[in-house]
Amino acid sequence: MLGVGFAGAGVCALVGLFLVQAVPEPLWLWALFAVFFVALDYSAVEVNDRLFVSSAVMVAFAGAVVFGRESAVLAAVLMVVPSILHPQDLKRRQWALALANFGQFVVSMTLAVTVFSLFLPEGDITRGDLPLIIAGAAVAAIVYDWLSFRIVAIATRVLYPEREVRPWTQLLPNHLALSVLAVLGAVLGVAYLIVGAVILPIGVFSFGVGQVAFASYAKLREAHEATIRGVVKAVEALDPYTRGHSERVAYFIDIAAAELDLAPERVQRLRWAALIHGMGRVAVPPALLRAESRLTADENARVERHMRVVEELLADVQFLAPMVEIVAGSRTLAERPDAALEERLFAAADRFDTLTTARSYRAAVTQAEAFDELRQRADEFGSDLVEALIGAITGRGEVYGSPDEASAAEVERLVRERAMRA
Amino acid sequence: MPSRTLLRLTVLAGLPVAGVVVAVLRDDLSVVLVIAAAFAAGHAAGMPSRAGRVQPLSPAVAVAAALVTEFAWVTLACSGAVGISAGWLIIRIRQDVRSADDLLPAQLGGLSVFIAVATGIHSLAPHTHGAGWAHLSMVLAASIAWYLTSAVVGALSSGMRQRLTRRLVFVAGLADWPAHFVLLASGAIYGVTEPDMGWWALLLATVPYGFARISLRRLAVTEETYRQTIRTLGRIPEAAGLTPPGHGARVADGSVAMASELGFGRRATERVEFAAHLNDIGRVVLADPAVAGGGHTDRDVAQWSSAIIAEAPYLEPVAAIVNETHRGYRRPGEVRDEDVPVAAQVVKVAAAYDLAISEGMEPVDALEVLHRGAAYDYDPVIVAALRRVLQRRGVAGT
Repeated sequence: MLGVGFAGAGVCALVGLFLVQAVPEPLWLWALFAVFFVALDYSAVEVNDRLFVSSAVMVAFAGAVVFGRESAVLAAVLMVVPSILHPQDLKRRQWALALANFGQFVVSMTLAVTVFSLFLPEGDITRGDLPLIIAGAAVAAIVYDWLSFRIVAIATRVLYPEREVRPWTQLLPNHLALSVLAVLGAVLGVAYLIVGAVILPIGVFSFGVGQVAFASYAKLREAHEATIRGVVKAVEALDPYTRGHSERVAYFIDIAAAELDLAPERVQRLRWAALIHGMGRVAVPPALLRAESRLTADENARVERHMRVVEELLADVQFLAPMVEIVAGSRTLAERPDAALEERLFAAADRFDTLTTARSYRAAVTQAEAFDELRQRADEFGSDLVEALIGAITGRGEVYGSPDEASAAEVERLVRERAMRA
Repeated sequence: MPSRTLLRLTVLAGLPVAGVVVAVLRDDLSVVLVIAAAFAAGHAAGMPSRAGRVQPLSPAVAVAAALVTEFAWVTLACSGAVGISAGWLIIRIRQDVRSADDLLPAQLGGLSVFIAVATGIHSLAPHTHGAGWAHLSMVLAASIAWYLTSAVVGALSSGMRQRLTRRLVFVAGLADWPAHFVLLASGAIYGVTEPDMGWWALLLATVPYGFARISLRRLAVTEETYRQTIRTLGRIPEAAGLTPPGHGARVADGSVAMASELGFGRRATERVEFAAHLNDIGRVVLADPAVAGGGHTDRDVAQWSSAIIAEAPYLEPVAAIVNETHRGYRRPGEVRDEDVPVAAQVVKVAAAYDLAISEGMEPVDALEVLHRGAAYDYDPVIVAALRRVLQRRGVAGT
């Protein structure tokens, strides 16, 4: 529904443009620009859901300059039309999104280039016009940016009402990049008019390399994380008692961090710390992992020593070093009142999940008991963090641990009996 | 080494003095000094390229200068001589003698070839004055010549001869093309637009360059981190006491050397390296009696390792290699089982050799073990490659 509405607005804008603007001449040159535009647009890098950094904007602004004031807007907006066939949308069969995206793109491009064309001189463009054209491109980029994010925000809210619309917290770099791209496109357009077409292949090539390199960087980064995650998952599967433990810890950290309004990159680091903190178990002898009674202090020290071997290994990876530091730091909280927030939050989430799940030597405790213990150790974890975690869990109406004390006691009794039989 | 001292003396005194003298005689000292300053800065400032190498910016300066001066070869040669010497001195002061010396041969050679080719073509077709396309194709041809020269010089002067063949170093040098040609394009943008647009040309040239630089840098850093991660993950079975200490690194080292001996490309070599590191990761799961029950076979290890690796779609080719490492190279009645990739055999042979050595065998005996398996397990062609690697490294008795 929304997609159709957006697309309708886009089509109206296009029809209006055909009425007031001249068709870009020569047509083959426009087609060339359109090919560049589409190539850059389709290879754009997804920064986070549906937010693309696309250098195609540069081509649109260059085209607006090259085709002159009379057909600038039409020339730029027509290049946008093929975006309705964006391969990503087609692959995921997101028809509504494709339509909405098309409408959003057309409307914001129309307004932005209209503003820009006001800064273009009437007759032939010379070097002296550059300052005014650059100013125009900067202003137009701001219009474009503001408008598209407004529209995308509305669309996201309608299409995914359950999702919090907060993905664009760090847009400033993107705003800046877009302005630079628009200005660069405008200057390229002027260079085309003054110097000739020779500027096109070299300009597009050097930009293309940057874009391809950026795309492979994004792909590689994902692959890197997937590789680590794969090993983590395999290690996790080893121990039935801790299966899913790291993911639950990551979840508790997530919801507590939302309560505390932590910066996304800190949450990301914590999430990774949660994922890798069980890796050390591979080096712990299975007999210790499965011990049927509580470990003695000596055995605990042995477990910790084994775990530390692997952690030290992981700290060799630059990317993982800060996460390992959080995990290691979380063990010595009692001795350090000045421990970092990350270490305390991680320790609290880890402790909560340990308490509310069964171990080979004891049953899970109830949620109330777990909360009590966290509150008792508030000096260690920080009372604000403890309250944030508790608030996040109770606020969502979620319950962890044994449903009631009676069944916890029953499990405890069965465990004792089994130990006696053995 | 006297030749090295001679080179340093030439660069430190000979080249700049000659350059300045010629420039004074020709009365274009100011132009030469401006371009030389750009060369010095370009030589000293590097752009990160693949495999942690640094690509000096001088190709961009050379292209821009050639276009702006309309291929005045004497001016180019003088400014190059002064500028690159100064750049060498800057690196020497800021970093160390070695990094300064390492860059030099490829740079001087490349620049000379560039000037020769560019001005040579220009003098053959001098009537194309002002024609952007013709000039662009001239600098393009000259840049390709520079690029090939620096790859050849790099391969010849490489200190890695022990581990890698020259061919591989040459191919690795060629892999740096994005950085080199981005520099070419940036220099060309400046050179083409400067006469008509003045200082705006600088903006046009530097913004795309900056974008490419940031992207390539991130790519290089991520590649390095990834490599580090693979190496580290490969050491987890060692940390858990499941394989001999250092096993993964040695198998990877041996596999890479054998791959280079067998003429693998850059990508294929990287896959073999990753496969060698991660070959035993499945043991982490199998160490648990609850999973492995009464023990496990090589096939289990290969399949578990492969399954763990395949979690990253990017590593699927690596997972496919690891999945086949338990298999022999042929079944009875066959010459060779085409389903077993050569890469899997390389890893298998390298791992078997290292395990034999870790058990205290002499290299000769370890090779004999491999030869004894030549009927079905170990491909004799690959065992022969291992022997050649060992011989090149001077391992006794091989």
